[in-house]
Amino acid sequence: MSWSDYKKEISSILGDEVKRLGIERTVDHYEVDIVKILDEYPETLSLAKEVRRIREEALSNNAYLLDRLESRCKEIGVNFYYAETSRDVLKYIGDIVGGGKTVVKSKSMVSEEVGLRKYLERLGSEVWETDLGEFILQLADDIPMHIVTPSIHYSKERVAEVFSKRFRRSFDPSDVEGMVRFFSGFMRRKYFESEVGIIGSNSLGVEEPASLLIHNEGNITLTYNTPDKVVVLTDLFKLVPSVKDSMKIALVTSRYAGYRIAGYYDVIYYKSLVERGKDVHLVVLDGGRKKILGDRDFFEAALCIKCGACMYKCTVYQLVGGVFGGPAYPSGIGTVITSFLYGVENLAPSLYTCLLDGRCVEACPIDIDIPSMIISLRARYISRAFSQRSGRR
Amino acid sequence: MSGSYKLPESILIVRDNILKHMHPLGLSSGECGSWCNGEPKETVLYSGCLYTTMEVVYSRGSLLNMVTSSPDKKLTPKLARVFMGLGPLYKMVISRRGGKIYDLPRKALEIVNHLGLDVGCLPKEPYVGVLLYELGFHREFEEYVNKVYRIFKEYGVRKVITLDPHTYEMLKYIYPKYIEGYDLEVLNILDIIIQGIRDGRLKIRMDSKDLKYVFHDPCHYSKSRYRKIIDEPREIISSLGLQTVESRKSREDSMCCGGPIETYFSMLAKKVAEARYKDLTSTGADKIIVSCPICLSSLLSVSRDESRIMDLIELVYEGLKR
Repeated sequence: MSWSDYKKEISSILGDEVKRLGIERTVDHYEVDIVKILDEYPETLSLAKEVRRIREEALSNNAYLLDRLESRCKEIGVNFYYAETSRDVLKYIGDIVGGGKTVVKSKSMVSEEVGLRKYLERLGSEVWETDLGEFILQLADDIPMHIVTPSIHYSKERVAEVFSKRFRRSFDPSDVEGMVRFFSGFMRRKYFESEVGIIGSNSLGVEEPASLLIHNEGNITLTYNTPDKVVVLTDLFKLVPSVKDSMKIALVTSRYAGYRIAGYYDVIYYKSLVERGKDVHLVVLDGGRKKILGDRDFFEAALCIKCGACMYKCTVYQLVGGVFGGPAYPSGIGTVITSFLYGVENLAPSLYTCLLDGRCVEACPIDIDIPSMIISLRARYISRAFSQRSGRR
Repeated sequence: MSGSYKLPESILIVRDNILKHMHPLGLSSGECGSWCNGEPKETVLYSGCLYTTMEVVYSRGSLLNMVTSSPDKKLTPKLARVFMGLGPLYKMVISRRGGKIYDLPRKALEIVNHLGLDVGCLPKEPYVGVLLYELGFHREFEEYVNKVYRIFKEYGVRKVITLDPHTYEMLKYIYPKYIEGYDLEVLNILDIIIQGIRDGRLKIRMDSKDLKYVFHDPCHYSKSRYRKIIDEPREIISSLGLQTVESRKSREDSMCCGGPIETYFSMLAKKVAEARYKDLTSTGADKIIVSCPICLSSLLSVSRDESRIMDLIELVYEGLKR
């Protein structure tokens, strides 16, 4: 994004009272809730330290875990695919799904990263986001603004508007329950028509290959249980040795996401899906992540468990939401990660939006030093900018 | 996505000015050190030129805003370069020899002298270089800080007392990574004031007059990766006998003033400052206390009442029992 386009987006959201209030309401609640939650469950702090150790070790052994995952998948009858690029993901899943199908998918940042829904729609399938927040964005043709609460910038009035436009009937904005009921009814039919279910992973235990997914709506359980074909789309960083590790990560993730306990924690042992006759595919994306693992200055970014705490607490995010950061991964940490996925030259305005105030570090359960990485990344950007244009001045 | 390596002109102006004049706005070291009414000694009070700089930013904000508000537009920055090239005329417009922010280092010097410490200052004071570091010009930064270090050495300086979080962080924790054999002893004015209060050499007292004060923690103190400075300013404020309240976002949870992105996203920086100001005033506090010239300038620029915001140094100076 160019500097002037970025500035326009910033001005536009600062001028959009509805969006700004939506963001403000959520972040204000979060700031109050997280203090209470950590106060009520003080053991979360030590568990978070343990999670950091687990992830450090897992990421140091990432190559081994990836090999091991591949062979374990083969043994239990899961189709394993390692995708180097986003394009590889689209090609592989596109081939599995084909055209003219009904596909249900749960919220997955990797699918946002590669642009999966739109790609499958172009191939001629009907693809439905089963997470309500994502569903709203799908109808509005908008992008998520937060990795946990994607439609943070939507008020109930705007949701009613979006629903009315799509379903050609009126919705009462004050009747939130009514809208949720309508959505559930609509989605129920889609689940039963669906031929393919696509899910992600909050964490993936390698030894007995299983995804752990955290959700609040119950939609994910239906997404992988109803259709005959299940695609698990995840990325390299999610691999940990065992399900025990995943469970610890899940608890820390949900607490720091602002929940005492999330609605659901699904552990999906792929073998049980296979045994019930499902065609199971596991797709693991690199997409630039190996570069992060191999870079001492940025290794910490790989530790991120995607709880979204740093985003809620970020001063800039609180004002402009997901305009700051990469398209799938907002805010400071998102800027760092996305720089490796899409190239740092595409993130420059966000790179320079960070205030380096360190609120994100204080918020992070695993103490990732985001401002230091932002500064290092700026230095990298500058040195490339000037080596590319030396002699310009 | 495909992008190219572009930078806002204002960032390039800052870099070019630092490399050419050793200052982001092109001030000379003499102008930076114009507050210094003493002479160089083994121990010096060092402002990093941040107070003089922020005085200019605050009082000439609308002028600088022409360059900083349009990162992509080429015309205004080009005019700015021409304007800056005018030398004496430009200096006449922007130079400051007084003001709420400008006066703070001199007040600080009076405080440490009052403590009986033998402290000097540099009549030609180099800018600390923090913008080169934060903007990512690290090769230039390395060269620059070595130059600054040599200036300290030429003056025979061994101990440096810093007044603000940025200069403190730079000299104490960042410079040593870039300078071989770095041996400056770096002290923080807050520690010196506290020591003075504790051993009774510094008696400070202010009449609260039923006013409530709120402290705005600067990020590079309260959330420092190296040394968190949170209780120190509060101890000083309570020694003054002032009645205080805490803001919703205080201590390590404090919020930025917006200053760091003012060079190229001035509009967003202002929004941050406004949000922070609202936060601080919603506590019911009558006065806001800061401990950083950047915070001071940012909050002053969104406040209609200049007397509502005070630097801790100003308070201690006022509270000094002479």
